[in-house]
Amino acid sequence: MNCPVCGTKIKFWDWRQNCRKCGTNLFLHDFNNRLREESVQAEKDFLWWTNMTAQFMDYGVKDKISLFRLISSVLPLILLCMPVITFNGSTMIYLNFLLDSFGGGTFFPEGFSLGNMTQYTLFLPAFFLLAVSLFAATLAFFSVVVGPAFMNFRAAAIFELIGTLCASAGTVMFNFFSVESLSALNPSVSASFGLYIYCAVMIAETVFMIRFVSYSKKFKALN
Amino acid sequence: MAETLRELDSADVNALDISKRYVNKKGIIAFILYDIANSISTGDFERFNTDALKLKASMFTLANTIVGIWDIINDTFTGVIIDKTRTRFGKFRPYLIACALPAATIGLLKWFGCYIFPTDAAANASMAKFIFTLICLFLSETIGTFQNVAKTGLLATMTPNPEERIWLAARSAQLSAVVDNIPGIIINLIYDMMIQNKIKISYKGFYTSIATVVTIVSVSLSLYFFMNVRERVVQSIEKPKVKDGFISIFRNKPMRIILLSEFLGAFAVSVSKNDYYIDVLGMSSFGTLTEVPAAPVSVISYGWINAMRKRFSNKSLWILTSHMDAVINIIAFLFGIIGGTGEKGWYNQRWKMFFILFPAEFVRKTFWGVKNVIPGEVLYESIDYCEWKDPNGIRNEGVILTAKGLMTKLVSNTTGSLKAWIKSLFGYDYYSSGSQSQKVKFSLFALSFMLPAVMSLISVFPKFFYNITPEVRAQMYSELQTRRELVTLRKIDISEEKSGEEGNV
Repeated sequence: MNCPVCGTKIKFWDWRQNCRKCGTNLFLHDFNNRLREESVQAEKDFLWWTNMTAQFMDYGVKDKISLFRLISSVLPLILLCMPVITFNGSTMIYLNFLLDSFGGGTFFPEGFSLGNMTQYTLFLPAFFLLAVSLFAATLAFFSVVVGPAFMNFRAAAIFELIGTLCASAGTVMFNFFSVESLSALNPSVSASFGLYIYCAVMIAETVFMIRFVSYSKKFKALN
Repeated sequence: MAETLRELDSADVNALDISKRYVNKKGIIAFILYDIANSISTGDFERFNTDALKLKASMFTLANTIVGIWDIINDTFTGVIIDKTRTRFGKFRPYLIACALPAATIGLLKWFGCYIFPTDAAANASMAKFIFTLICLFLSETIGTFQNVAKTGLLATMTPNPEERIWLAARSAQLSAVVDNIPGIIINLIYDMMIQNKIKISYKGFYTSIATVVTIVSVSLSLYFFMNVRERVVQSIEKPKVKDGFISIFRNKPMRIILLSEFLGAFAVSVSKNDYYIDVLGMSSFGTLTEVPAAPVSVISYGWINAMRKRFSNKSLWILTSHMDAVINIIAFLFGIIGGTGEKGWYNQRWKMFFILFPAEFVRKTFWGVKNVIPGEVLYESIDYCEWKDPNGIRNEGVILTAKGLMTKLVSNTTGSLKAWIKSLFGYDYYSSGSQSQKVKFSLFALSFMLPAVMSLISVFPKFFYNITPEVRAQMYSELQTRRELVTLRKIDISEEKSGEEGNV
């Protein structure tokens, strides 16, 4: 930076308020004019923010179908509070980390370790797919919340589709895996009822989100 | 120069329009990100000591006690140093950059201590480890105080428009509320999986990894904030004297009221509600269960701050939100004693208490936004009031902010140990957790609901005398703006005169 009056070069670590050569107060020089200039940009930026909020209200909450979209996008995340994998016939494995924050410690059952599951060829890939599905469902939820502010309705549909594909592939793999584990006399592991319900809801959500993309064209035309 | 100053009349000054906005998009984003980064914690250092550092508990407590005393002492001069700071970046911004790297280094050293010193049983009373921990905590505390005062002071001066200041505080708090729990949940999840041997990470690896990630994020966002935000409220020409700050506090009524109210509020001793949930209702997560359904309301509640401000003054909202918890606690208590204080009392029954506390949480969360924003705004407008009433327009944010903290610390450091004593006084048996006598159960219920409510209500009285009414506020900001403009012109005058004198020499 140079002194605006005498042009002396001011090094970054020279923090003094006044220029060492001409004594100009660097903090206050042209202070009010700079504020007025900043105000012009700040007003524009605030308008951008206000528009974004208005778009969120108009296209994310006000319309009944949009409101349903917002509420239904939380459903897959809540459903994962149900057991997704049955381990050894009785104990269950949950996938929703929210359960853990309730202090239940029910994420994995006793005696279960991810490291020990490497003996089953399909367990880890299937488990990974479920984790990806949960992540995609979470992203879909955030897209539904934030999307209307940016007039983006497609992202949520894409994330729901990815989540559905991963969950379906994971479910199929768990069923194959179940047969394999029984034959190897290892503890039985299979897809639980929660996973089937989750898959069904994810499919319904995906169809709804894709239909919503064409519905949202009406919003774009209005906007 | 005196002639020049006399010639300056407020009528000649083309004052800034304080209803306009001054913080641009980058500034808003930087402030929100910095606020979020500040809310991410590196973790519980006491737990880290138990798990990884393994310094003898008595030595660890001693280190914390010494640092606690230092915390009170350093408050007495930190504010003064900050108030005397005048740089080309302003008064608070330099502390953000000057403290960022030392804070990161000390912060990392503190957590990496488990790799520097032996952690076996024989080394738990090591004097070297004790001194190392003490120095780290001591430096962290000192730097942290400077950072906190600078951050709050910067928010008070980021914009001359008080409405924009409220808007910024509300938006950052709202967005922080959405995301700042996520890192904590993830960290707790990893910790649980680690202690249950579901994943193989050592304690040392766990704590140091978190510290490294949090430190990098925090330093980066501090620097980004520093680059994109500037101070827009002019400070006085003269650097304030040490006594000026204290005089300013005691001379101005709103400031006296805030400090007195903080001081009295700090006496609100209570027994943790968790004790009631565990020992009476037999469920540690009961509080979470009642809070979680109302959580979205707390985020939405920031949206109606403006509507509430249109209807009520800052003073009314300050009183309402500061003591709402007390009123809710009293109502919950009154419902809880239906059926008596014995076994048939509602306070013993989980479902009944759920249906009492669940709607109470909804009401509490409805005012969450106002509660998090308005007390801060009351403080900022009181700082502006001190500037307005001061003949030289001196602002003492540093002294005011540290004095406010000091008031609370003086009391809370003394009363902190009272909790255990109060529990013992009512016959709490520490060795029979979960199976306390009926009398103790009722005492726990009363101590966790009624006691804090009554104690907190004491601090409501000074608030009624708070004198910044909407009319005073409007007049104050209008006059302040003209005066700040004058100060700016006067400062430029002095600079030009100085440079003229130097040129003549």
